[in-house]
Amino acid sequence: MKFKLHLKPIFNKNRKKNQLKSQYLYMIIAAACCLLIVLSSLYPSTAKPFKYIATAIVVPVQNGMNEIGQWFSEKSDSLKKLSQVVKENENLQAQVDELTLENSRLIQEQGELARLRELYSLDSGYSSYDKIAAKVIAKDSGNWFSTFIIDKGSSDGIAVDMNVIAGKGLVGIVIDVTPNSATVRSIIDDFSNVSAKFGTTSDLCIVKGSLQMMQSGIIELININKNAAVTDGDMILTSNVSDKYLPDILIGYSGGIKDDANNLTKSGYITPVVNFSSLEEVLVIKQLKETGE
Amino acid sequence: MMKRIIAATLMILVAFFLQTAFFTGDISKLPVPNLLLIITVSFGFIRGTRTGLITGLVCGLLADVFFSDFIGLNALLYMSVGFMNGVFNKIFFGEEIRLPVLLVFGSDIAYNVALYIFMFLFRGRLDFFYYLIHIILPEAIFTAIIAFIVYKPILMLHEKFTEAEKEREQ
Repeated sequence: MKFKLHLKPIFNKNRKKNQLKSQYLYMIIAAACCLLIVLSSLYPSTAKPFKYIATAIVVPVQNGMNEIGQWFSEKSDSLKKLSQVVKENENLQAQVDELTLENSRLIQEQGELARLRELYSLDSGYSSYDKIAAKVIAKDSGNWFSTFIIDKGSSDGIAVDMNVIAGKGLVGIVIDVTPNSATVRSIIDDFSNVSAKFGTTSDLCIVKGSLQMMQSGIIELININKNAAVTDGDMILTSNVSDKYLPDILIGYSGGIKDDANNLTKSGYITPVVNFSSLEEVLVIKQLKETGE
Repeated sequence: MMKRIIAATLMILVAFFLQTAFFTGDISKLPVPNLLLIITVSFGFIRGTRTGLITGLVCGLLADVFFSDFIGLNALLYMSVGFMNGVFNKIFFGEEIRLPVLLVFGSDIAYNVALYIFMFLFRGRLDFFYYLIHIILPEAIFTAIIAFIVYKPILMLHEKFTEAEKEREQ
């Protein structure tokens, strides 16, 4: 096969004129874009009108599309499952044996835990907060970021900085709302920083989203005090000192903790409890953190 | 002309919905193909710089409005992609499918490298080759494959519109 390319007459007068025009057009719009970038990053409210109009049109359609997409993925899932189930069954059997052993050990520890809970008077978690369920209707259009859009907005009482959870753990935080939708930045996003603490020792640390580490299903854990007596496998919870996240929401379990090169801090990774690749429904906690400002 | 604009708008919207909602099932395994970029590149390549840059602007704004903290970056990048591919329209034209697919591949890499520089490099994420291999290349390859499938229908649609327009003129 040969390239069937035809050279066009470049020096066609008519064309040349047109080209000149579109070059100017390009420069004008490019300048406008730059202006818009600066304006909207300095004053986020500049972007609001754009967002309101766009979401009002797009969100309803997005809802429908999402259902079709889910139907397809369910179908393909059920096919995959059959072969998986057989394999899983074997693994599970082995796990059952292992867990039975572990369970008996845990029952012993349960008594101890109950006692300690009383001592710490830890609330039974975040079950007492007022929550609202929302569906994930769209994810970021590229592969760089982990933000997504949910189908509830300010008309349902959602506001910026509300915490978002799914199942057992923290998913992220609302960064933007329109009347009928809200944008959530998940904690695995490269821009995300969560102030956290270890469940047993209450040592503070920072859970820092990293695209690079998320490829292997983990999140970066940094800024742990070098003298903190922390171990792998400990619970990581949101800390009391965070100004946006409510305290004591489970994020995940620590691992790979080692001293940093600067000899002042330790770092490691955490395995999140939420499965971010298959988020479909999330809960938004309608309580905002009170910072006393 | 009106029909062409309506068709283009519909196409962009469908691409946007697919890109953001349809490919969400198991995103950890497959990269999300950049359908908006395919549309921008093929419109630019088929119709020229002006169409390319306007298509890019619309696609970019759409992505910006929904997923960016600030508006304009995606618009600027998509628009540049559309414009550059429009320049190729001045030089080449043909039924050959390999060139537009190659252009999509190249444009996707250029777009993502720019995005990497603005959003990651400036925050000290220096490991460019990691991102190139794990994020940029998979997306570019997958996007090029999709472009291979959808370019011909887009070209055919364009030809149909051109015919209709010619008929009306006569």
